[in-house]
Amino acid sequence: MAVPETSPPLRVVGAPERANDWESVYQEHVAPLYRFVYSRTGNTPDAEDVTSTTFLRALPRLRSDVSPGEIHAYLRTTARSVLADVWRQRHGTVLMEFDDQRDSTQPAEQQDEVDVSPILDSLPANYRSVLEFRFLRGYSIRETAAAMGVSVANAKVLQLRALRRAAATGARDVQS
Amino acid sequence: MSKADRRLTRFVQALIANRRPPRSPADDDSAAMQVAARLRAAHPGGSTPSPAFVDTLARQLREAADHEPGWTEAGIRRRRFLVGGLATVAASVAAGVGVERLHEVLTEPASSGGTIQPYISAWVAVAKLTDVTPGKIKQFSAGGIQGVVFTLDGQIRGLSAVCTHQGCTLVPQPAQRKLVCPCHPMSFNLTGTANPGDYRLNPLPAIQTRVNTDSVEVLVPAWT
Repeated sequence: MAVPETSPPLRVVGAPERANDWESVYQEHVAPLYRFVYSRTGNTPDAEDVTSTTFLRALPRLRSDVSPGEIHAYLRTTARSVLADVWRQRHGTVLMEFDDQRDSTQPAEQQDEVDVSPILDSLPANYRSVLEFRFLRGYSIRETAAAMGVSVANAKVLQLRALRRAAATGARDVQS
Repeated sequence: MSKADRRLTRFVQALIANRRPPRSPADDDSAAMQVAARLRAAHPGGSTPSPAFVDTLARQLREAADHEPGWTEAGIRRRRFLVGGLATVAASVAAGVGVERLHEVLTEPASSGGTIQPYISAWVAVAKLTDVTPGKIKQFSAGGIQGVVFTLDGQIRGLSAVCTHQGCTLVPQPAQRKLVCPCHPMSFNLTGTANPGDYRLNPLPAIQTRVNTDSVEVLVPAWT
Protein backbone atom coordinates (compact mmCIF):
# COMPACT_ATOMS: atom_id res chain seq x y z
CA MET A 1 0.00 0.00 0.00
CA ALA A 2 2.55 2.58 1.11
CA VAL A 3 4.99 2.97 -1.75
CA PRO A 4 8.41 4.07 -0.51
CA GLU A 5 9.91 6.90 -2.49
CA THR A 6 13.18 6.37 -4.23
CA SER A 7 15.96 8.88 -3.65
CA PRO A 8 14.70 12.44 -3.97
CA PRO A 9 15.56 14.39 -7.13
CA LEU A 10 18.53 16.74 -7.02
CA ARG A 11 17.48 20.16 -5.92
CA VAL A 12 19.19 23.51 -5.95
CA VAL A 13 20.21 24.32 -2.40
CA GLY A 14 17.93 26.96 -0.99
CA ALA A 15 15.25 26.36 -3.59
CA PRO A 16 11.77 26.21 -2.14
CA GLU A 17 10.42 22.79 -1.29
CA ARG A 18 8.36 21.42 -4.12
CA ALA A 19 6.14 18.44 -3.64
CA ASN A 20 4.57 17.96 -7.03
CA ASP A 21 2.79 14.70 -6.42
CA TRP A 22 -0.27 14.62 -8.61
CA GLU A 23 -2.68 14.60 -5.71
CA SER A 24 -1.43 18.00 -4.52
CA VAL A 25 -1.51 19.41 -8.02
CA TYR A 26 -5.04 18.13 -8.47
CA GLN A 27 -6.20 19.48 -5.10
CA GLU A 28 -4.83 22.88 -5.79
CA HIS A 29 -5.87 23.29 -9.39
CA VAL A 30 -9.13 21.43 -9.89
CA ALA A 31 -11.44 24.22 -8.75
CA PRO A 32 -9.67 27.11 -10.53
CA LEU A 33 -9.21 25.09 -13.71
CA TYR A 34 -12.85 24.07 -13.68
CA ARG A 35 -13.82 27.73 -13.28
CA PHE A 36 -11.61 28.67 -16.22
CA VAL A 37 -13.11 25.93 -18.40
CA TYR A 38 -16.67 26.64 -17.28
CA SER A 39 -16.30 30.27 -18.26
CA ARG A 40 -15.43 29.09 -21.78
CA THR A 41 -18.13 26.44 -22.10
CA GLY A 42 -20.98 27.91 -20.04
CA ASN A 43 -22.49 24.49 -19.25
CA THR A 44 -21.70 21.77 -16.74
CA PRO A 45 -21.44 18.69 -19.02
CA ASP A 46 -18.84 20.30 -21.27
CA ALA A 47 -16.97 21.87 -18.35
CA GLU A 48 -16.67 18.50 -16.60
CA ASP A 49 -15.55 16.70 -19.76
CA VAL A 50 -12.95 19.29 -20.66
CA THR A 51 -11.62 19.47 -17.09
CA SER A 52 -11.31 15.67 -16.92
CA THR A 53 -9.56 15.43 -20.27
CA THR A 54 -7.20 18.25 -19.31
CA PHE A 55 -6.06 16.61 -16.08
CA LEU A 56 -5.81 13.14 -17.62
CA ARG A 57 -3.69 14.57 -20.43
CA ALA A 58 -1.57 17.05 -18.48
CA LEU A 59 -0.77 15.33 -15.19
CA PRO A 60 1.28 12.43 -16.60
CA ARG A 61 3.42 14.91 -18.53
CA LEU A 62 4.21 17.20 -15.64
CA ARG A 63 7.76 16.99 -14.37
CA SER A 64 8.24 17.01 -10.64
CA ASP A 65 10.54 20.01 -10.57
CA VAL A 66 8.36 22.57 -12.28
CA SER A 67 7.23 25.69 -10.44
CA PRO A 68 3.64 26.34 -9.39
CA GLY A 69 3.42 29.01 -12.08
CA GLU A 70 4.52 26.56 -14.73
CA ILE A 71 1.95 24.00 -13.59
CA HIS A 72 -0.75 26.65 -13.77
CA ALA A 73 0.36 27.67 -17.26
CA TYR A 74 0.64 24.09 -18.50
CA LEU A 75 -2.84 23.21 -17.28
CA ARG A 76 -4.24 26.33 -18.94
CA THR A 77 -2.48 25.58 -22.21
CA THR A 78 -3.74 22.01 -22.17
CA ALA A 79 -7.28 23.16 -21.35
CA ARG A 80 -7.18 25.65 -24.23
CA SER A 81 -6.15 22.92 -26.62
CA VAL A 82 -8.93 20.60 -25.39
CA LEU A 83 -11.45 23.45 -25.67
CA ALA A 84 -10.27 24.15 -29.20
CA ASP A 85 -10.75 20.47 -30.13
CA VAL A 86 -14.29 20.42 -28.76
CA TRP A 87 -15.08 23.67 -30.55
CA ARG A 88 -13.71 22.49 -33.86
CA GLN A 89 -15.64 19.21 -33.69
CA ARG A 90 -18.87 20.90 -32.77
CA HIS A 91 -18.82 24.16 -34.67
CA GLY A 92 -16.38 23.48 -37.48
CA THR A 93 -14.27 26.58 -36.95
CA VAL A 94 -11.04 27.46 -35.26
CA LEU A 95 -11.65 28.79 -31.77
CA MET A 96 -10.42 32.34 -31.38
CA GLU A 97 -10.65 33.40 -27.77
CA PHE A 98 -12.42 36.68 -28.07
CA ASP A 99 -10.86 38.46 -25.09
CA ASP A 100 -7.91 36.29 -24.29
CA GLN A 101 -5.44 39.16 -24.31
CA ARG A 102 -7.56 41.26 -22.04
CA ASP A 103 -7.55 38.35 -19.57
CA SER A 104 -3.80 38.06 -19.57
CA THR A 105 -3.33 41.70 -18.57
CA GLN A 106 -5.19 41.06 -15.32
CA PRO A 107 -3.36 39.95 -12.19
CA ALA A 108 -3.13 36.18 -11.96
CA GLU A 109 -5.40 35.85 -8.95
CA GLN A 110 -8.23 37.57 -10.80
CA GLN A 111 -8.07 35.36 -13.85
CA ASP A 112 -9.96 32.59 -12.13
CA GLU A 113 -12.92 34.81 -11.37
CA VAL A 114 -15.62 34.99 -13.95
CA ASP A 115 -15.96 38.74 -14.10
CA VAL A 116 -18.27 39.86 -16.87
CA SER A 117 -18.64 43.48 -15.84
CA PRO A 118 -16.24 44.65 -18.60
CA ILE A 119 -18.50 42.95 -21.14
CA LEU A 120 -21.72 44.34 -19.67
CA ASP A 121 -20.42 47.84 -18.94
CA SER A 122 -19.54 48.38 -22.58
CA LEU A 123 -23.16 47.88 -23.71
CA PRO A 124 -26.22 50.14 -24.00
CA ALA A 125 -28.66 49.75 -21.09
CA ASN A 126 -31.26 47.58 -22.81
CA TYR A 127 -28.60 45.19 -24.13
CA ARG A 128 -27.11 44.96 -20.67
CA SER A 129 -30.53 44.26 -19.14
CA VAL A 130 -31.45 41.49 -21.55
CA LEU A 131 -28.14 39.72 -20.94
CA GLU A 132 -28.42 40.08 -17.17
CA PHE A 133 -31.92 38.65 -17.12
CA ARG A 134 -31.15 35.80 -19.46
CA PHE A 135 -27.67 34.71 -18.41
CA LEU A 136 -27.07 35.90 -14.88
CA ARG A 137 -30.60 35.30 -13.58
CA GLY A 138 -31.54 32.48 -15.95
CA TYR A 139 -34.89 34.05 -16.90
CA SER A 140 -36.84 32.50 -19.77
CA ILE A 141 -37.44 34.63 -22.84
CA ARG A 142 -41.02 35.17 -21.67
CA GLU A 143 -39.90 36.28 -18.20
CA THR A 144 -37.23 38.49 -19.70
CA ALA A 145 -39.76 40.12 -22.01
CA ALA A 146 -42.14 40.73 -19.11
CA ALA A 147 -39.38 42.16 -16.92
CA MET A 148 -38.26 44.52 -19.67
CA GLY A 149 -41.73 45.45 -20.86
CA VAL A 150 -41.10 44.33 -24.45
CA SER A 151 -42.66 41.64 -26.64
CA VAL A 152 -41.34 38.09 -26.62
CA ALA A 153 -40.21 38.45 -30.24
CA ASN A 154 -38.44 41.65 -29.32
CA ALA A 155 -36.64 40.06 -26.36
CA LYS A 156 -35.49 37.19 -28.59
CA VAL A 157 -33.94 39.55 -31.10
CA LEU A 158 -32.55 41.81 -28.40
CA GLN A 159 -30.54 39.03 -26.74
CA LEU A 160 -28.91 38.10 -30.05
CA ARG A 161 -28.05 41.70 -30.89
CA ALA A 162 -26.64 42.21 -27.40
CA LEU A 163 -24.40 39.14 -27.70
CA ARG A 164 -23.14 40.20 -31.14
CA ARG A 165 -22.47 43.73 -29.97
CA ALA A 166 -20.57 42.44 -26.93
CA ALA A 167 -18.57 40.11 -29.19
CA ALA A 168 -17.67 42.97 -31.52
CA THR A 169 -16.68 45.17 -28.57
CA GLY A 170 -14.45 42.44 -27.15
CA ALA A 171 -12.74 41.98 -30.51
CA ARG A 172 -12.04 45.71 -30.73
CA ASP A 173 -10.52 45.68 -27.26
CA VAL A 174 -8.13 42.95 -28.28
CA GLN A 175 -6.96 44.88 -31.31
CA SER A 176 -6.51 48.19 -29.48
CA MET B 1 -35.14 35.26 -37.94
CA SER B 2 -32.24 34.24 -40.12
CA LYS B 3 -30.61 30.82 -40.02
CA ALA B 4 -27.71 32.27 -38.03
CA ASP B 5 -30.18 33.82 -35.57
CA ARG B 6 -31.86 30.49 -34.99
CA ARG B 7 -28.49 28.78 -34.45
CA LEU B 8 -27.38 31.38 -31.91
CA THR B 9 -30.79 31.15 -30.19
CA ARG B 10 -30.44 27.39 -29.84
CA PHE B 11 -26.92 27.83 -28.49
CA VAL B 12 -28.17 30.27 -25.84
CA GLN B 13 -31.09 28.02 -24.91
CA ALA B 14 -28.73 25.09 -24.35
CA LEU B 15 -26.47 27.10 -22.05
CA ILE B 16 -29.37 28.44 -20.00
CA ALA B 17 -30.72 24.89 -19.63
CA ASN B 18 -27.16 23.82 -18.65
CA ARG B 19 -26.92 21.44 -21.60
CA ARG B 20 -24.25 20.91 -24.22
CA PRO B 21 -24.89 23.22 -27.18
CA PRO B 22 -25.94 21.42 -30.36
CA ARG B 23 -23.50 20.67 -33.14
CA SER B 24 -23.79 23.45 -35.71
CA PRO B 25 -21.54 25.75 -37.69
CA ALA B 26 -20.58 28.86 -35.74
CA ASP B 27 -19.66 31.01 -38.76
CA ASP B 28 -19.59 34.66 -37.77
CA ASP B 29 -21.11 34.03 -34.35
CA SER B 30 -18.11 32.28 -32.84
CA ALA B 31 -17.28 35.27 -30.65
CA ALA B 32 -20.93 35.86 -29.72
CA MET B 33 -21.17 32.22 -28.59
CA GLN B 34 -18.14 32.68 -26.41
CA VAL B 35 -19.59 35.83 -24.90
CA ALA B 36 -22.70 33.78 -24.11
CA ALA B 37 -20.60 31.09 -22.38
CA ARG B 38 -18.70 33.71 -20.39
CA LEU B 39 -21.92 35.40 -19.27
CA ARG B 40 -23.55 32.14 -18.35
CA ALA B 41 -20.57 31.16 -16.24
CA ALA B 42 -21.00 34.33 -14.19
CA HIS B 43 -24.40 33.34 -12.83
CA PRO B 44 -24.31 32.88 -9.07
CA GLY B 45 -23.03 29.55 -7.88
CA GLY B 46 -22.37 28.34 -11.40
CA SER B 47 -18.64 27.94 -11.62
CA THR B 48 -17.81 25.64 -8.70
CA PRO B 49 -17.22 21.98 -9.59
CA SER B 50 -19.61 19.62 -7.85
CA PRO B 51 -18.03 17.48 -5.11
CA ALA B 52 -19.24 14.39 -6.95
CA PHE B 53 -17.32 15.46 -10.05
CA VAL B 54 -14.15 16.29 -8.10
CA ASP B 55 -14.38 12.92 -6.42
CA THR B 56 -14.99 10.95 -9.62
CA LEU B 57 -12.13 12.64 -11.46
CA ALA B 58 -9.80 11.98 -8.51
CA ARG B 59 -10.67 8.31 -8.80
CA GLN B 60 -10.08 8.30 -12.55
CA LEU B 61 -6.70 9.95 -12.09
CA ARG B 62 -5.76 7.52 -9.38
CA GLU B 63 -6.72 4.61 -11.62
CA ALA B 64 -4.63 6.07 -14.44
CA ALA B 65 -1.68 6.72 -12.12
CA ASP B 66 -1.81 3.16 -10.87
CA HIS B 67 -2.08 1.44 -14.23
CA GLU B 68 -0.51 3.59 -16.90
CA PRO B 69 3.26 3.28 -17.16
CA GLY B 70 3.58 6.83 -18.50
CA TRP B 71 2.82 8.19 -15.08
CA THR B 72 5.74 6.52 -13.38
CA GLU B 73 8.22 7.34 -16.14
CA ALA B 74 7.29 11.00 -15.97
CA GLY B 75 8.74 13.02 -13.15
CA ILE B 76 5.57 13.65 -11.25
CA ARG B 77 5.42 11.48 -8.20
CA ARG B 78 2.80 9.71 -6.27
CA ARG B 79 2.30 10.53 -2.70
CA ARG B 80 3.84 8.02 -0.34
CA PHE B 81 0.41 6.90 0.68
CA LEU B 82 -2.58 6.16 -1.42
CA VAL B 83 -5.39 8.63 -1.26
CA GLY B 84 -7.88 7.68 1.39
CA GLY B 85 -11.35 9.13 1.57
CA LEU B 86 -11.61 10.77 -1.80
CA ALA B 87 -15.08 12.04 -1.08
CA THR B 88 -13.60 13.83 1.90
CA VAL B 89 -10.97 15.30 -0.38
CA ALA B 90 -13.71 16.57 -2.65
CA ALA B 91 -15.43 18.12 0.33
CA SER B 92 -12.17 19.75 1.41
CA VAL B 93 -11.69 21.28 -2.00
CA ALA B 94 -15.23 22.59 -2.02
CA ALA B 95 -14.89 24.00 1.46
CA GLY B 96 -11.43 25.44 0.84
CA VAL B 97 -9.99 23.50 3.76
CA GLY B 98 -6.39 24.39 4.59
CA VAL B 99 -3.40 22.52 3.30
CA GLU B 100 -2.63 20.96 6.68
CA ARG B 101 -6.02 19.28 6.80
CA LEU B 102 -5.65 18.07 3.24
CA HIS B 103 -2.39 16.40 4.14
CA GLU B 104 -4.14 14.55 6.91
CA VAL B 105 -6.86 13.45 4.56
CA LEU B 106 -4.42 12.38 1.88
CA THR B 107 -2.27 10.32 4.18
CA GLU B 108 -5.10 8.19 5.47
CA PRO B 109 -4.63 4.63 4.32
CA ALA B 110 -6.66 3.52 1.34
CA SER B 111 -9.81 1.82 2.35
CA SER B 112 -11.34 -1.18 0.71
CA GLY B 113 -14.83 -1.53 1.99
CA GLY B 114 -15.12 -0.50 5.61
CA THR B 115 -17.29 2.34 6.78
CA ILE B 116 -16.93 5.92 5.64
CA GLN B 117 -15.77 8.01 8.61
CA PRO B 118 -15.52 11.63 7.47
CA TYR B 119 -13.15 13.67 9.60
CA ILE B 120 -15.65 16.53 9.60
CA SER B 121 -19.09 15.07 9.33
CA ALA B 122 -22.76 15.86 9.55
CA TRP B 123 -25.97 13.88 9.60
CA VAL B 124 -27.97 14.73 6.52
CA ALA B 125 -31.54 13.60 5.83
CA VAL B 126 -31.61 11.86 2.45
CA ALA B 127 -34.86 9.95 2.41
CA LYS B 128 -38.23 9.58 4.03
CA LEU B 129 -38.64 6.43 6.05
CA THR B 130 -41.35 5.39 3.60
CA ASP B 131 -38.78 5.50 0.76
CA VAL B 132 -36.68 2.75 2.27
CA THR B 133 -39.24 0.11 3.07
CA PRO B 134 -38.04 -3.43 2.20
CA GLY B 135 -37.71 -3.90 -1.54
CA LYS B 136 -36.77 -0.27 -2.25
CA ILE B 137 -33.35 1.28 -2.82
CA LYS B 138 -33.16 5.05 -2.48
CA GLN B 139 -30.33 6.95 -4.18
CA PHE B 140 -28.86 10.09 -2.64
CA SER B 141 -26.09 12.59 -3.16
CA ALA B 142 -24.95 14.40 -0.02
CA GLY B 143 -21.72 15.95 1.20
CA GLY B 144 -19.84 14.72 -1.85
CA ILE B 145 -21.01 11.15 -1.45
CA GLN B 146 -23.13 9.31 -3.96
CA GLY B 147 -24.88 6.58 -2.08
CA VAL B 148 -27.94 4.45 -1.55
CA VAL B 149 -30.02 3.66 1.51
CA PHE B 150 -32.24 0.61 1.86
CA THR B 151 -33.53 -1.94 4.35
CA LEU B 152 -31.64 -5.21 4.77
CA ASP B 153 -32.52 -7.82 7.41
CA GLY B 154 -34.82 -5.33 9.10
CA GLN B 155 -32.10 -2.68 9.41
CA ILE B 156 -31.65 0.51 7.46
CA ARG B 157 -28.26 0.55 5.78
CA GLY B 158 -26.25 2.81 3.55
CA LEU B 159 -23.67 2.02 0.89
CA SER B 160 -21.50 4.09 -1.42
CA ALA B 161 -22.95 3.92 -4.92
CA VAL B 162 -19.61 4.54 -6.65
CA CYS B 163 -18.20 1.47 -8.36
CA THR B 164 -14.83 0.51 -6.87
CA HIS B 165 -13.51 -0.22 -10.35
CA GLN B 166 -13.55 3.08 -12.22
CA GLY B 167 -15.91 5.29 -10.26
CA CYS B 168 -19.06 4.98 -12.35
CA THR B 169 -22.25 5.63 -10.38
CA LEU B 170 -24.02 2.36 -9.70
CA VAL B 171 -27.66 1.91 -10.72
CA PRO B 172 -29.99 0.33 -8.16
CA GLN B 173 -32.00 -2.70 -9.26
CA PRO B 174 -34.35 -3.17 -6.32
CA ALA B 175 -36.05 -6.26 -7.77
CA GLN B 176 -32.72 -8.11 -8.01
CA ARG B 177 -31.51 -6.55 -4.73
CA LYS B 178 -28.32 -5.34 -6.32
CA LEU B 179 -26.46 -2.29 -7.63
CA VAL B 180 -25.38 -2.54 -11.25
CA CYS B 181 -22.43 -0.76 -12.83
CA PRO B 182 -23.41 1.07 -16.04
CA CYS B 183 -19.83 0.96 -17.34
CA HIS B 184 -18.96 -2.72 -17.11
CA PRO B 185 -20.77 -6.01 -16.56
CA MET B 186 -20.45 -5.95 -12.77
CA SER B 187 -22.82 -5.63 -9.87
CA PHE B 188 -22.72 -5.45 -6.08
CA ASN B 189 -25.13 -7.07 -3.65
CA LEU B 190 -26.66 -5.16 -0.76
CA THR B 191 -23.94 -6.19 1.67
CA GLY B 192 -21.57 -4.19 -0.58
CA THR B 193 -19.74 -7.23 -1.95
CA ALA B 194 -19.07 -7.45 -5.67
CA ASN B 195 -20.97 -10.25 -7.34
CA PRO B 196 -18.78 -12.69 -9.27
CA GLY B 197 -18.14 -11.35 -12.74
CA ASP B 198 -15.47 -10.24 -15.13
CA TYR B 199 -13.62 -8.14 -12.55
CA ARG B 200 -12.49 -8.73 -9.00
CA LEU B 201 -13.51 -5.61 -7.17
CA ASN B 202 -13.15 -4.24 -3.69
CA PRO B 203 -16.37 -4.06 -1.68
CA LEU B 204 -18.37 -0.85 -1.45
CA PRO B 205 -17.76 1.26 1.66
CA ALA B 206 -20.68 1.35 4.07
CA ILE B 207 -22.28 4.63 5.10
CA GLN B 208 -23.60 5.12 8.61
CA THR B 209 -27.34 5.67 8.82
CA ARG B 210 -29.86 6.61 11.48
CA VAL B 211 -33.57 7.33 11.67
CA ASN B 212 -34.64 10.76 12.85
CA THR B 213 -38.44 10.82 13.32
CA ASP B 214 -39.66 10.01 9.80
CA SER B 215 -36.39 10.73 7.95
CA VAL B 216 -33.41 8.56 7.15
CA GLU B 217 -30.14 10.38 7.78
CA VAL B 218 -26.62 9.51 6.67
CA LEU B 219 -23.27 10.55 8.12
CA VAL B 220 -21.42 12.36 5.35
CA PRO B 221 -18.62 14.93 5.06
CA ALA B 222 -19.74 18.34 6.22
CA TRP B 223 -19.04 21.07 3.74
CA THR B 224 -20.60 24.45 3.22
